[in-house]
Amino acid sequence: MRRATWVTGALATLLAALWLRLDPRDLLAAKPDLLWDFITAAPRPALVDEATGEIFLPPLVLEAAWATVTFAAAGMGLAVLVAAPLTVLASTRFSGGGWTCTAVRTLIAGMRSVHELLWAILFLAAIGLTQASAVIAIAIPFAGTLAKVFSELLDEAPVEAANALQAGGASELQSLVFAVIPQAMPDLASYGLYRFECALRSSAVLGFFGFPTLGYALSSSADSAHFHELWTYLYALFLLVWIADRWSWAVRRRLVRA
Amino acid sequence: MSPAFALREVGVRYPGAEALRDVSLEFGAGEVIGLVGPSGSGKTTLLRLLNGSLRPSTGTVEAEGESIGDLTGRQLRDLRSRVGFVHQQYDLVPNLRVSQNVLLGRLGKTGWIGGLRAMFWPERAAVEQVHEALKRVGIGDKIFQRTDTLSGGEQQRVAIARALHQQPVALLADEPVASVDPGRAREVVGLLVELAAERGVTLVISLHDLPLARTLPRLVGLRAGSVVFDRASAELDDDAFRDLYA
Repeated sequence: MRRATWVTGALATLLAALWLRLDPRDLLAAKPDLLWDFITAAPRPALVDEATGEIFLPPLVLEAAWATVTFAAAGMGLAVLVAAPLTVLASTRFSGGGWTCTAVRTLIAGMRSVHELLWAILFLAAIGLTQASAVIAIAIPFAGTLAKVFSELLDEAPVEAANALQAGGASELQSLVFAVIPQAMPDLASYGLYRFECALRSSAVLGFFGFPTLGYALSSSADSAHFHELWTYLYALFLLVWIADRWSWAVRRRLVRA
Repeated sequence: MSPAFALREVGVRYPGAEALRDVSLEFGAGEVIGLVGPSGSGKTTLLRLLNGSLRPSTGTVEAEGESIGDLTGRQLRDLRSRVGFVHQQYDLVPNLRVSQNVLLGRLGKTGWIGGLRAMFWPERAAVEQVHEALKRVGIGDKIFQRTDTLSGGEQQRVAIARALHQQPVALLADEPVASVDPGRAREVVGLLVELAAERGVTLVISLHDLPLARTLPRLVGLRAGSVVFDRASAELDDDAFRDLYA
């Protein structure tokens, strides 16, 4: 990178820090013993409820982890269904880049400009604390992001095989499904699985609003300063994301390998 | 019987360039024709007119007696499903199996259901036909391999098998041997000619390799978008070719 880029970046960071009145001493002024308790609890996650010492945690952790996965999967599934037609309409190659394309691109930009947590607040107010409000809150911005990236992947995929199928009498949409999508599949799958990983995190955080995911357990443990418990739930979240990552790696390897 | 293809006073203009000028030709059913000429002379443009990939700026193109310009989208796709096209690049889906690529050649006939079956659950009879087509082009044993594991020459044979699997009435080949060595070029052109003869299929093939082109019965010479000659290759002497490339 050029020196000017570095200098500009450094200046911008400094200005932002000054503007925010960042002070390193704030870190020391924070409650150091609390921080210490939190850190030292890391190697010793709790297996029983810290308040009562009686309730065995693993089933609760599993339940919260399972809820996290199901909310993420349902949100992601709905997002893929919604994104599929939007992807085709937003792709320059298949929509011709006309006004429909522009309209759909604006729509999907709108869908993802509002974060899933903000959508959740909206749906909590409108529908209440039901499973549907969490799932829809995840699905809307995720569908917007998927449609944007998927449509770009389709536009970048090689055209020759699709043209060959059309030369043999296939329609444009058929050439999309049977030539372009298979060629883009490793990238589509890998990005889709990465977004599933993001959905897991979002689903966990939605627990802060009262949905029964890991976030709910995390926030109640944090509120009562039960750090050993907190770590149990954090490790569960790490594990979920790690499994999603392994899965994505395995799928991609299978699709790419010749 | 109407000719397989007929061009009547056809002109094609691209923005800023004239690709074909006042071309009139007839290709009979079952005939084998070579298109020769320097690059940029209009060979590819002519082939693309024949399956309606390109519309002429002036004049008419007929396939089996019907003007291609008058066909609806559905009719045009029907026509294309009966015309196999082998490209210079093989234009296969690299990460599908050979069998899937060949089966997809028939997409214009089988439609959505057939396409989905080809991808996930192909019919036994269809797979047997694919196997026959692949055996005919000499790579029957590659049927279930991933396409990108095959060599360039093998992939070209897959593309030919895909065109065959369409059960076409005509085969169009655009510089099919531009990127293979001379020995194999002769083999591939020989194979196309044999296949056309076996099935009574019209074959139009563009070539820049003259000695190879002269093995075909009829040659059409193009230069700068105009037909310079259209004769039996036996009647053509070296001067005709020298003029073509002059």
